[in-house]
Amino acid sequence: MAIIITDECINCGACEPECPNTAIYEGAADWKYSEGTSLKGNISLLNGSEIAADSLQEPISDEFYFIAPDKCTECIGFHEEPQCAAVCPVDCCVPDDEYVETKEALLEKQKFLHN
Amino acid sequence: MQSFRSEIENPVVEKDILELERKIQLFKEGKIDEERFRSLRLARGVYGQRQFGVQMIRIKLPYGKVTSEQLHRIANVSDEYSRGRLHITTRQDIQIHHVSLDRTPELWSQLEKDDITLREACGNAVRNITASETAGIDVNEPFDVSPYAHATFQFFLRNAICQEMGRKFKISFSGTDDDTAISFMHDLGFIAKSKEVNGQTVKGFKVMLAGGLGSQPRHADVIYDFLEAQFLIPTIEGVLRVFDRYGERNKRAKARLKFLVKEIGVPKFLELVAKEKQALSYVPYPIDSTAFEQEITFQENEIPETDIEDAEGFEAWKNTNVIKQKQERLFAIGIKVSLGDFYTDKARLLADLVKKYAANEIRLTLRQNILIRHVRAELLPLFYVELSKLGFTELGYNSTSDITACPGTDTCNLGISSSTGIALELERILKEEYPAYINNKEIAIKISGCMNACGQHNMAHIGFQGMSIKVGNLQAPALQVLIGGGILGNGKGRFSDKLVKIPSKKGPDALRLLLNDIENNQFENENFLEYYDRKGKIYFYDLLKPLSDISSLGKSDFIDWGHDENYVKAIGIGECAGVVIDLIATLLFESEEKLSNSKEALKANQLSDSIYHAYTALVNTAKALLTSEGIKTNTQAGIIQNFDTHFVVNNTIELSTTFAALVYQINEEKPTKEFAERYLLVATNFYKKIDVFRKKTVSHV
Repeated sequence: MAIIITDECINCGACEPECPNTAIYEGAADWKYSEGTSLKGNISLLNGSEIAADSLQEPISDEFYFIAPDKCTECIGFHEEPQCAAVCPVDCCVPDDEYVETKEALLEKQKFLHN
Repeated sequence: MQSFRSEIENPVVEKDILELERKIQLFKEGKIDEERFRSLRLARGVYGQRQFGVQMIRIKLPYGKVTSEQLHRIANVSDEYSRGRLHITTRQDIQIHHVSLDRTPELWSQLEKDDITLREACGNAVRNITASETAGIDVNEPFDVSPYAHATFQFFLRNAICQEMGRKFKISFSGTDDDTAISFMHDLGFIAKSKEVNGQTVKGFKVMLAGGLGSQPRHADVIYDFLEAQFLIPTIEGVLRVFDRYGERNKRAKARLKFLVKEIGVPKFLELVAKEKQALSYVPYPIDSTAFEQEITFQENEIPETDIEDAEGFEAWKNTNVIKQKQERLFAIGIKVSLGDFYTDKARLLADLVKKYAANEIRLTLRQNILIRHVRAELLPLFYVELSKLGFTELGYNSTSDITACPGTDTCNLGISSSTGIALELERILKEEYPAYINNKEIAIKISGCMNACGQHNMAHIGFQGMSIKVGNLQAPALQVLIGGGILGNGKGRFSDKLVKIPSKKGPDALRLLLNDIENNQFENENFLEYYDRKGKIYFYDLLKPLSDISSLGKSDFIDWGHDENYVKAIGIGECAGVVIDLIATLLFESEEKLSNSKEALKANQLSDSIYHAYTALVNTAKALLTSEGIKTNTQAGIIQNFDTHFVVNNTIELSTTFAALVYQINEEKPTKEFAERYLLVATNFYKKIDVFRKKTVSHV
């Protein structure tokens, strides 16, 4: 499962530097697959689609910090628990029901991001 | 309201106060944009607070220096306009709360009678200049930093280059390598150094750039190991000019200097500073320190007899609260002020005591305390007795039991959970269960009510930060426990590790677990940080983790410290930053104001100021047009570049040269009268051109 930031976010930015995958961005910020990962050139995402790793991606939220689900491993492979949730002062980094993944899938994602 | 108008003597101050009054009126009549008004009042020390309809007033007290007369004045103002409480902040200001907006001009005019200002106490300006409270009396200092802190305050107050920066700017001065003013977490931090040059002792500073706390702390970089004191002001000015031009303005969370320096790197940043040299008004700028080197005199030379009934208490107090000064036979007395709060009745008695028997001066400290300076050795008994009557002799000045806390949810809009409540509880536990810590000056405990870190929790040995935690459908107040921060000295410091989040009511147990663990396992001759490093972060995480369990919380866990009803999460939006105004008409109107400021400054022969106002008029006018086209305007440098790209290169706006070349004359020319006049004309003509263009475009729509 990826983590999602809810609309309770107070835009404090505490989560952003904690993410081992650079999956967290400030609201309205464009983001890239290549940032904070070893992804380069054209990549095929786990869902099969092709994309350039350093192409700019649309922000997922314009108002609050957001997590790019394709880059979120719930900190598996790095930490015991999701670090964004651990440091969020208002407890608004929660499991995303739309992106339910097994531990194995997350580990695979972690390998994909940092090969 | 008429009464105070005639009483202000300084015309500059008078203009400021009358302007505040006028803008309040316009705001009430709905004739001025709310965000715009907010940014104006903030730069005059008028802040919002958690309670609706009243204001917090931050009184700017450079390096915390307060005379007896000033303390009386502040006490009178607090009684008249606030509620008689004075709150000392971690940046050596005093805050008073529950003030009516209408009365703020009058309040300010009262303070000015004793030369106290509100100007640029909040907002996107150079904030209060802080300094080690022992500056001028410290046995280890190479020289007194007070005159330099004072000159910095004076030079940048109302200075055109730092009136509307992208974000606030904090400067501190440390007297010694102990770095008690915490240079490594300031936008600019200075540590006093002296050096032999050609057989002469030269005063100077180690200079730290772009540090900061907040939710993303950054350790400052050393930019000079030794900067001669005469280059202090020009260096600060160069840094401020670059910050103003290149600093982010739209994304508030990324607008502090630390983000700019992180992005472009120190060498590139210093290159930009070097480019500003031509425009600086004074290079070098010598600072006269003689006013601070006068002989120390006393009003009362007779030493009254004092009987000490409590000899043991007196000795203990001397041991923990009295500091030997570098001046022979003189001592400084530390008053531990719980939570930084004291009250006007006692403030007045303290002011009288200090006037009569000390040298008429106190310093407010970064740890929210009071330091009385220049107490003669033979008067220590008298001070002990008199201060005891005021409740000002509690032991443990600057010790572990002297906990720092921001006001948190008591009055601050941003607070998430109580900081003062838990601070009082922890102080009580230390006193009752761990009395040895009253003498411990090594470990500091600091608490903030949110991640913004006004309580400096993330640079303390032990820190707590206010949070909230979800328990099913309910919210409980929570604390993040942080360990491992501290001042290492000579510009080095550590930020603490965020360990674990626990319900607030488990805070005392966290402290007990930690202190007991230290007692059982710390080696002799091992200090706290060495112990922490030896065991490692995970060890302490495992130690505290059981407290984070929320599966069996009781009723009281949902009630915060200092409260008797269930916790409700209520967080407002920070307002210390001026907010982006994108109404094009407002922007153009502002340009007119800037041009008129430039004209006035020119008339008064303030050339640098005039030039800078013309510069901001140029940038602001360009911003108006870019905004109308929906083009990004995050930084001044970006605005200048984008204007060329979108309007000049394609001849939409015809200029004799590029817009950049027009604007950057400011870096090519010295601030002469001839240039100031020419530059103002450039800015005025540009404004006229854009205004005509804009009117044409609008009429076409």
